[in-house]
Amino acid sequence: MDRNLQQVNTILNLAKFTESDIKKESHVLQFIPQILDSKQVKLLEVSKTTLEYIKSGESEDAHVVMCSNSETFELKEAETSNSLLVMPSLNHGKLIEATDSRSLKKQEVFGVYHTYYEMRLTKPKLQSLRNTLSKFPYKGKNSELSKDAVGLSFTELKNIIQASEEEVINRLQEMPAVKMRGKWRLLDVGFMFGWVSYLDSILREKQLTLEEVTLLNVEDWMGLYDIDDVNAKCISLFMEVDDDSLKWKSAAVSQLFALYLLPELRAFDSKDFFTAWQQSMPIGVKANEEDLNGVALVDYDSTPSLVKYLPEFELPEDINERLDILFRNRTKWTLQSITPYVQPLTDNNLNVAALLTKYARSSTINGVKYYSSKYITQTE
Amino acid sequence: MIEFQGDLETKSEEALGNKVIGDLHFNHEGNPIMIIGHHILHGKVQELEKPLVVITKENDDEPDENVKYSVTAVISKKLIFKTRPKPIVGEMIKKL
Repeated sequence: MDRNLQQVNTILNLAKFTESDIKKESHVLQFIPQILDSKQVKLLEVSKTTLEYIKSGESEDAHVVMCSNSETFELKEAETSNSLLVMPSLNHGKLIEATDSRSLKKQEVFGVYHTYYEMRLTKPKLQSLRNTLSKFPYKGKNSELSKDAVGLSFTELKNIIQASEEEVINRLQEMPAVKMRGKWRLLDVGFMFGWVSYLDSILREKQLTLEEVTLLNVEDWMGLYDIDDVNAKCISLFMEVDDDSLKWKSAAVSQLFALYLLPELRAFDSKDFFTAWQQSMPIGVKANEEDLNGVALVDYDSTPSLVKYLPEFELPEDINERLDILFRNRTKWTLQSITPYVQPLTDNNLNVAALLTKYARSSTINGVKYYSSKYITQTE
Repeated sequence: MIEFQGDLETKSEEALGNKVIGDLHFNHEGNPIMIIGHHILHGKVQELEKPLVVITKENDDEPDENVKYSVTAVISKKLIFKTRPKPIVGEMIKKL
């Protein structure tokens, strides 16, 4: 059934072309016997940079998210009414050498496609990283029951979290996570509270402030408290180390203490809370209500005013679900107070204000701008 | 890759496998001319601004496993036929 040159030329003439109008080599397009359908083969539109990356080695594709080493992309299916015929490269135009005789080449076609995928740079959902690791809390070396490694290896994490390697590493560094015997764990809030309090008690005993001691001193004292990796993590989480001078990271310490003091699911009389909070804090760290942003809410509408436990990392990553919980807890938010809860969901294209404009309603009362739910109507 | 408007259809809804689609020629300017059935299409060779990567599903038989795709080809050029096809007028073409 193969076509011959004569047949092709006949058609060509019927189409009002002569053989001198065209290059010597013509192609017959023919499907391969077993066409590759769109379930087996997908077309992915990539940028030149991504192509370089793909050419350089491995790439992974997980459902809707594709990751290179440093970035995460969202895949979007694009449909076209045009037909795309995919085939191995063929000689065209100038590549066809001028020869004397006409020739006919069979050109295999793998299939017809009407969809392809576009890649969009996206912010990975890294919330699940904390949730996943929280199943393996670390509560201090004395609480370790078994000698076996507990937690998740980096490879295991990578399979669970839809984000690039670099993004996962960066987040692990920011988080209260440590690697022990090759497995990642999450430092327990109670443990970290104990760690900071222990160091503070040593300082109080010696009548010193953190500014007056060296990193070496701290490492030395805390060496009795826990293993080096854990101590190093706690130092990086709660202290600013500048050459050899140390300082508490006031906001980080305040948030840790608030997280520890606020019992879950229960509201606290705000006056009592602020007193307890300040009193528990290490020397040199001042309790600041602003530091509660992203950790707890102060509800001034109730009498007495209450502090409610509401840490950002426990909220859902879906924007609508998250805002729904936020607006249930408080009907009106200032930009400043809602920012810590919304910031983690923003990306390059959508900052906090833009996101709120899109998903919430804003109103101005006495010159102050508030955000409230789009769906719940409030009585003033 | 070849891109053209519309879709390919067979007269008798047969499977497309092994079917001849049509003929492809190049004129002396290097532009492609495609003849499918009684349609003539004039097109151009175009460099894809964003290349297409062809990915093929690898482990189809193991549904429990993570689905793995491998990159099998990179498409960087296409023959694009933007204009509507012109019919071949004149004699009926009986044998394609």
